[in-house]
Order: sequence, then structure tokens, then C-alpha cells
Amino acid sequence: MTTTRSLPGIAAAPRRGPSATARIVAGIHKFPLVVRGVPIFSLLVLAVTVICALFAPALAPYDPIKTNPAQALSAPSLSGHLLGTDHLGRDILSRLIYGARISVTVGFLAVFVAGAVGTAIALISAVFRGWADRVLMQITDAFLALPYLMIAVTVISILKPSLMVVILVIGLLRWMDYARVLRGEVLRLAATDFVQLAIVAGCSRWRIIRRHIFPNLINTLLILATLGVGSAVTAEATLSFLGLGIPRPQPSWGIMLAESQKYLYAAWWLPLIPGVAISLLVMASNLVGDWLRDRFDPTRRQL
Amino acid sequence: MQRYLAKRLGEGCITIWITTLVVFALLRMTGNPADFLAPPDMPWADRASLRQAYGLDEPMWKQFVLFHKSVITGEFGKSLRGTQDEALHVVMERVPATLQLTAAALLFSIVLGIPAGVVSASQPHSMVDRIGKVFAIAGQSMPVFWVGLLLILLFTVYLGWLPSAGGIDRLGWQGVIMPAISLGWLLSASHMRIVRSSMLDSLDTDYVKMARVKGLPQRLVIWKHAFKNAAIPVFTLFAVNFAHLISGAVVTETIFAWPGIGRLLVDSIFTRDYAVVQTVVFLAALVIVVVNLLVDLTYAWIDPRIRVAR
Amino acid sequence: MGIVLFLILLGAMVASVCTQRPQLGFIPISPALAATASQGAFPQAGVDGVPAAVEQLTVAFDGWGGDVIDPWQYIGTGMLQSYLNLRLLHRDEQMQMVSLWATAWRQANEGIYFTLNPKAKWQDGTPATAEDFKANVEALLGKYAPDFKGTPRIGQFKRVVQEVQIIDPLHVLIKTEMPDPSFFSLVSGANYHQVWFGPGEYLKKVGHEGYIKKPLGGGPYQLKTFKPGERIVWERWEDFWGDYAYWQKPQHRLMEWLQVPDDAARFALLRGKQVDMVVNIPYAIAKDLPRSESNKRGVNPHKGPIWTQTHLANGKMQITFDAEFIIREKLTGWEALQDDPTLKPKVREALELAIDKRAIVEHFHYGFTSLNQSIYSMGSFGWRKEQAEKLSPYDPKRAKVLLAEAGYPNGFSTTIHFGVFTGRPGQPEALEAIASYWKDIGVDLKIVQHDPTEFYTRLNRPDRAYRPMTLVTWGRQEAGEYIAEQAASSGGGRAVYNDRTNALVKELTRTLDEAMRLRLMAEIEDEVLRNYWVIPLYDASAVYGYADRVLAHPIPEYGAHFTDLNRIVLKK
Repeated sequence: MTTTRSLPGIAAAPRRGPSATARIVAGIHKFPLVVRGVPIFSLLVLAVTVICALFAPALAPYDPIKTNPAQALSAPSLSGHLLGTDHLGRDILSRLIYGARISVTVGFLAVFVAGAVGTAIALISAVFRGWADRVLMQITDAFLALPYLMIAVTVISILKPSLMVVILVIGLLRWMDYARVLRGEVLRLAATDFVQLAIVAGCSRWRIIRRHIFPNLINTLLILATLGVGSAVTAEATLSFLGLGIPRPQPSWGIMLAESQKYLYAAWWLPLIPGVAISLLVMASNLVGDWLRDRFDPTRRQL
Repeated sequence: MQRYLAKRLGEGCITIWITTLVVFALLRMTGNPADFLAPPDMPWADRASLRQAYGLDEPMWKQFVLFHKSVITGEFGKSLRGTQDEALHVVMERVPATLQLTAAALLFSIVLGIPAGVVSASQPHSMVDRIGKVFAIAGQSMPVFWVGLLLILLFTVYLGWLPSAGGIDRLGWQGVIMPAISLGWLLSASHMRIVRSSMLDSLDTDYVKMARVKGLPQRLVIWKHAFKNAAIPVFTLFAVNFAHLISGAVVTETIFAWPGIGRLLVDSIFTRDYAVVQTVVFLAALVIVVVNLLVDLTYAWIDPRIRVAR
Repeated sequence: MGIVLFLILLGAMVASVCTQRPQLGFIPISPALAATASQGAFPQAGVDGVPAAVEQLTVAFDGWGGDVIDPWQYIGTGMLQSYLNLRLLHRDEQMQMVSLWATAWRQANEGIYFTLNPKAKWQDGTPATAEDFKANVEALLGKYAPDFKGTPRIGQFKRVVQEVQIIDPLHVLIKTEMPDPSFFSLVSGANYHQVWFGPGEYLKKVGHEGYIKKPLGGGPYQLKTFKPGERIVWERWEDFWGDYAYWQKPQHRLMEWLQVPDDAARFALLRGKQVDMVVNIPYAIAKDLPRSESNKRGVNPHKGPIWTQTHLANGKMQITFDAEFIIREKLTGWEALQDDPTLKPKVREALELAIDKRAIVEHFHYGFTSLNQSIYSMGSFGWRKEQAEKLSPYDPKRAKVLLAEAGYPNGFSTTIHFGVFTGRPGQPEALEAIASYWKDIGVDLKIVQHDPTEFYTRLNRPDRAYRPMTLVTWGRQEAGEYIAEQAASSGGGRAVYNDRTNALVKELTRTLDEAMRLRLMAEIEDEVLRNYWVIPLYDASAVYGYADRVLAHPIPEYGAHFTDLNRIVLKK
């Protein structure tokens, strides 16, 4: 059991054994990757998604919202609509490209929210310690015990679905992992000579955080964020499936997948394509996250 | 041990209390809680009496106190639907179905994930390993509801092997297979990866290397030493995973028309049966906390180091 | 990479499953039956090789309305009560009123006389008498449970009914304050049938709590298993007294209802042979399935393992403009609406001209819904065929001109609210199409979806939460008066009115003369449409899917969605 391998100088071990993320993070071995350990395919997927999100108007061949009755539910074909049309005659490829915008926005912003909250809590917890630490960690544990989807569904139905609400709800129910992992990180950093010296030299807490601790957290944050994007996108898809996602007529991959389920028998490409898109994005984000982790510190097996 | 028990119990209680807080806040987050508690065709004037009945006119702190009282006595209000039972009763009727589903999903994930992880670890980078990884990644990438629908497509429509709606009461045990797979696949993928990496770690330690050098047979080495250590992380993660399972049940139950609390939640939200909604969220959190507590205690009982290293 | 391979395999599997049309063997029927079926009569149980009794019928719904089994507490709209308890009257396939508990009825000035069926009895064997009738009416008026809310139109019932007089055990008189022309729509199985009758003495004795624990009815079924919102199992009452062709002991002993809200999962049950009937198949899927209408409506055409029947015009979609009403009534926030573009008739006209209704019906609904330029439901009392066919043209150019004339050359932004109800597919698609059409003329539409319960609650709020537009979903209203009454200031929630319509509606509620009523309703409609207060979009329909095992299901072509499930005839 790897808790026996503790690094010197840590004042308090992580709360209840290694956290979930730490566990998965700890020593996942490299998957078969393409070139010298770099997951080219996954990076490509991520890059393409971001490019689509940024340059959607230039890339999309058709208007994603304009309905086209005569061509409803036409199959993918090389001439015309490459990925077919949906039940309203809208081009799937264009909706996919514009949908990348929403998925990317939701993914990144939700992760940002979760990361921000998690970092704040981790910093307060680890820096101020004592009473604040205990309370915050207790809150974190409590939130981990919440059935997050149930709460999300309830909250959104009360507050009415909108892009903001969806992002906030996803973000505010996911910060716990950031908090725990980063807290461990901060504690570890606090014990390093760097910081000890700075404390002795009389630097203010804020300065220490700003100059020594925070920059070193960024790596971990990045890893967690990349891993988190995938689950945020999946969460958005699930919420759309339950009818609580982003309002129409904006295309998002989640909505495309959700509203196309019932056309499964009439138009197989309709649910398949967004489903594949989501899966690829999630997969890519997971693999890139893994790779980043390995790259930044392959010797670190636990956090 | 007793100290540990007391400590965990205390923490569990606090967790439940925070959950109560969240549930309480949920309803009052909106400006018009009466809107959410009223049956749809309640005449407008009657809402005043509803507000009174639920104490919504009282100051917030008083409402909170009253809410605690209702939680302790189990009076969550009455369901608006069907036979208009007590909300608690309505929810409790459906908890077993969700637990059955969750247990089956957990079982599936363990039965599939752990051996897969072991096999993978014992033959790293082989074809078997690669296939395993593909399934693991696929499992972790596909949204649960999509997996569910694809399963229905394959097993009910295409092959006609398995029924897809109604729960165990109606279909018997075969009815739980597809929902369990769709809910548990993600978890099994996660388990597989953890076990694999954990085992590869253990197989790397000096202890195991020594055993190998001493000439102990490979199988013995793997199963006795590495596996034991590798399986433990699965239980460590149990807490978080169980919460995810209960959450995921919401979607799975909707697709498979499973008569559990996940589906009840979604139905109640859309029929504005808010008393039931509150009860479901609260009970779900309670179940999670209790199960976590039990697992932690079992864990602590097995591994004494845990009790100390806190 | 392995993943890509996996996904490709997945795609191939999905594609092949969805495109295959398996040809499985049919359960054969006798030639005599085949002949009868195509000639016009419905197959009967026990005749021409059809079994007299079968064990079970299983139906999957997206929803069946209210779950309350106590008829004296029944709220909302739904069909549960129709199988457990009694209705006075019924509608046959031609939507004509026919007997059920009441064998004869006569409207006079003092009220309505009913003659009750002497064979009627309750499931405990006691006869259903005038005493029960009286107890029920009194209960519905709120006598035993003062806070009984009742079904949505119970208000009308309470307004009209004064008391019940028992003439003899089989004859009763419902005394009404004044003759109410639309009274029958409350008690005759259409128009969202509002009033069910249970065993009066039993209900008085055991009360609500007792009734719930042990329900007792007078209809063809008894409740065997009841899980609200999930699953209901009905059991045939072996001593059922009804002997009408449309209401008699069903062929099946058990009828199981499953509620499966997810469209794809529900249809999978039919394709996977898990159920015999599915209510509400999405239009896009239904278009590829054999329709019974190709041969005889409601009878298995034997063209495949699945067949369908379309229940036409069971709902009505129209856009209602609320701003004018809100301002006139000075509801909360009316000041903010004073400059609303939709207040100008030219704008409303433009908005209607910009919608290609034909395309919506033909391409997005695959012809399953119906064009109907009338505020009344197709085929209902008050509906005029000539009016219905005067479809508004699709003229976006003119729409833009009108907008410019009204002072909006660059268009404007606006919002529409709607709720999705079970049994009425196609709304979101229609709205998204409309958003696209309006975008072409510069109007930016925001679509706000509400869940059905909340939609109703807030629709009828005193402060009319939805503004400036609502997509109103009417269930089929067999008697158009109810819709006409909305054109009066006293009409309540969905009113669009002026002085003229107010006067017309007032007269309408007083007239018993049918010809006069039709004329008044026509005038009201003309006034509403002339002012463009309402844009009629289409009449919705629900497609029912059946497995090959189902031989026939006679239902009215138009009707509310209570579905005569007891009349289903199965092959084996």
C-alpha cells in the first residue's frame, strides 16, 4: 500500500488515504502511443476541437440553425452534406463544428470554476491550517458524498437551464478533487526548503503563495483540468439528455446526442456522430491528461 | 478501533448535516418556493395557506430549525402523485430497486475490472493488454445513457436476448443485466486501470523481486502478493465511486424504466413533486454516507495502519 | 489506434441494426377474417378463428396523465379512471355520443334527465343506482371534501349544476341553473372528459384513505398492481356488466401498462417484442412503418411485424400573443410591454406570413400532423372545413415589408414559451423551424422550454408569466365552445379578446340553438383571426404502434387521447 512511501517533512498526510484522482493518477502506465510517448492522436483531436470552436463561422459549410425542410434526415453523402442532416434538415457537420464551441466553452469554463474554487480551498486549507483546514476538508468530504447528478438535476430545474447555470452547476460540483489533490501539493511545497527559507526570511504569506507555491501548482492544475474537461463535456451531454441542458436552438454535442436518440431507427448517423465526437473528446482529454502527468513528473507516484 | 469508529461516525454525521443544508438551500434558492411545492392546479389564493403550512413565511433561521425537525421525524411532506403517500414512504419503496441496480453494477465492475486489470498487468503490452485498454478507454469515454441505448439496440432489438424495461419485479434477474452493464462499465474501466497500474507497481517492488529471485513460481507471486496490494485501491476509491454510481443511476433508470429512486427523482422534478425530490436527494446522500462509513470501518478493521495514519 | 477501430465497429453495428428490416413470419389469420377485416367490420374476439380470451396485453406509454385512483380526488387529465370507474356517456368511432352508464339523456330547460342502465353494478356486486349517481355529483361539487380541487374544468361543472334529483332508482335529473350547451362535453368521454363516477356508498364509507388501499370500481378492470408513474397491471373483472360493442369484457385477462419516457427505449420495446403496443412513436420512425390506414384504419394490415395507427388531431398547436391581454388587464409588469412589437397587428401578420406551415407538417412531421387554419380542433363542433383550408400563405417577402411598415425594418428580438406534453410530439421541431423562418425576416426568437407541470401552473397565473408569446397546446376540444370562450375577458388564462368577442361569447353561453351557436363561434373565430391574436399552426397527432400480435384497435379517428384499450383484439 503506497501510503508507506511518504515524503519527508509532510506535516499531515492527505485526508483519507490517496484521493480518487491520486489513485488513478498514480502510476498509470503509458498507453500505446504513437510517436515517442506523445499521444499524437489525442492531441490532434483536442486541437481540432479547439480550432473548430474558435473558427466555427469560417469552417462550417452551412448555417447550423437554419432549418431546411426538404432535406430533413438525409444520410451522409460525399456530395452535399458530408455527415448528413438532422431531423430539421440542418447540416450535421456544421452543427458539430459550432457545437464544439459550446462543448469547449462548457468544458473549459466548468473546469475553470471547479479549479478556481478547488485551488482557493486548497490554499486556505493548507496555508492557514488548523480549524479552517478541518472545516474545509469536512465540507469537501461532505460534497464528495453528494449524489452530484441528482443535485445538478434538481438545481437546474429550479433555476431554469441556461449556459451559465449549466456551467456553474457542473463546476461547483466538481471542485472537490482539485481541493484535495492541490492541498496535498501545497502541503508538500510548504515543506520544501524554498518555502521554509522564505518564511524564515519573513516574507508575507501572500507573497510566498504568489511566488513559490502557486506557480508550482499550475502543472497539477493543468493535469487535473485536462482530465476534467472530458467529464464536464459528458456531464453536459447527460444533462441535455434529461432535458436540462442548454436551451435551443444552440447546437451543443450534448443536445445533438440527446435529441437524436429517438431518431435512432430512422437515421442511425444522427446519434452516432455526436456520440462518437463526445467519446473522442473525452478520450483525448483523458489520454492527454495522463501524458501530461507522466511528462511533468513521471517519478511522482502519489500526490 | 473504537476511537476510529467514533471519529468516523462523527464525520459521517457532519457530512449528513451538510447534505441537509444543501437540500434545504436547494428549494429556497428560488424566489418562490411555494410554486414548487404546490400542486399544479392549486388556485392562486391557496398558495398563501401552503406557505404557512411549510413555514415559508418564517425567517430563514427558523425555517432551518424546522427543517431539521422534519428530517429527524421523517416528515418530508406528502407526494403529490398517485396515492399521495408520505414522500418518505414513496421513496423508501423504491430504494431497494436502486440498491439492487447499484450492487449489480458494482459486482459487474469488480468481476470484469479486477481480473482484467490483473491479466493486463501480468502481460503488459501484449495483445490482451491492448484490447483491455481499448475497452477501458471506451468505457470511460462514452456517456452512460449512450451506452445504455446501444446495449438495448444490441441485446433487445438486434439479438432479442434480453428484456429492457421494468426492473427486477417484472423481469426477474435477467432484467438487471443490461442496466448493470451500462452503469458499471465506466467503473470497471476505472477499476481495470487502477488494478493494472497498482499491480505493475507492486510487481516492481523489491519485495516481489526478491520473491522472484528466490524462485517462487510466477503465479504464486502474482496472486499472493501483488494482487492483494492491488485490490486495495479499489476499496479506497469505493467512497467516490459509490456516489458516482448512485448518481449515474438517474440516467440508467430513465432509459431502462427501472423503478428506482433515480427515475423517481426525474419524474418528480418534472411533475414538481418537490417533497419527493427533497427526500430522494437527502436519502441518496444518506445512503452514500452510510455505505462509505461501513466500507471505511471494514477497511480499518482489516488494515490497522489506516486507523493510525490519519 | 484500437479506439478508432472500436468506434468504427460500433458505428457499423448501429448502422446495420437500424437499417435492417427483418422479415419475420406473421401469425396467420383465417381467410374469413381477412375478408371481413378489409370490408369494414372490426374483427371480434371469438369469431372467425380469433381466440375468445387471451392472457395479457402489454402497453408502453410515455405517460398516462394523472395517477389518482380516487374519482372524488381526481385532478389533472388522464385516462386511468376510464378503465376503473364509470362514465355516463361514451364516444364511438364516429365521435357520436353513445350510452355507457346512462342509456338515455335529454336536455330540458330545468336540467338534464338521465336514464341509468339497470344492469350497472359495482365490482363488489352491488347495483349502481341513482343514489350512487347523486353521491358522486355531490362529491364533485365539493360536498364531502371541500378542498377537492377536481379536474381542470370542474369549475364549469360547479357553476352549472345546482343539485341532483332522484326520480326513481334508474332516473335522475341534474338540475342546472340554465341550460349549458357544452355540458355534455364534460361527461361524454371527449374534450378531456372531466367527470368519473365511482361507488358512492362505498366511497362515502371508506373515504379517500380507504379507497386508495382497496379501490373498487364499476368498469371493466380491477387494479391488480399499482405503481404510480411506473407500472399498472389491470385485471379483467369477470362479472363485468357492460355489453356494448365498445364497452364489454375485454379479450385479455391482464393489461399491463409501462411508463417509459425515453422515446428510443420505448420503441425498442416494440421492436424487441417486449410489448404489444406503444403509445406515441416519433414521426420520423413512424413514417417507415406500415400504416393500418393503407387498408382499414385500426386493423392490422399484415405488412410487417409492426403496424401503426394515427390518432389524428388529438392536440392543437397555436401561438398566442399575450402582450395585449396583459396590458389590458394591467397585470404585473405590463408597463414593460407597452412598446412590444407584437402589439401591432401588422407585426403579428408578418410573423404568421413568415412561417411555412406546410413545410413543417410535410417535412418535419412527415405528414402526420394536419394543417388547420382554425382555432378549433379539426372535426370538432364549431370547426369549419372552408376556414380550415384557408391556409395562411408563406410569404417572407411580404412579411418583411409589413415589418418595415410597422416600424421594424431591422427586425427585433422576442421570446416564446412552451411546454412539452406526453402524446404530442413534434413541438420542439416546429419551434426550431419557426425560429429559423423568423430569423430570415430579421426576428430573433428565443425559445424557452418548460416542463409540463410548471407550464400549466404559470400559464394560468394571475400575472401571466409568459410574455409576449406562448405556444399553447390544446388537447383536442370536441366542443369548440371551450376554445371560443377564451376570446372573452372572463375566459381567464388564455384570453385574447375585445368588446366584440366579449359580447359574442356572452351570447354563446346562453344559446342552446345549435345553428346559432355555430354562427356565433364562426364570428368569434373570424374576429380572432382577423386580429391575428392567434396563429394556428397545426393539429398534432399521436402515432400508436402495434406488434403483429394485435389484430385490431378500434378508436375514433379524431379524439382526445383516451384510447379504448379494452377494445383491442389480439390474435393469440
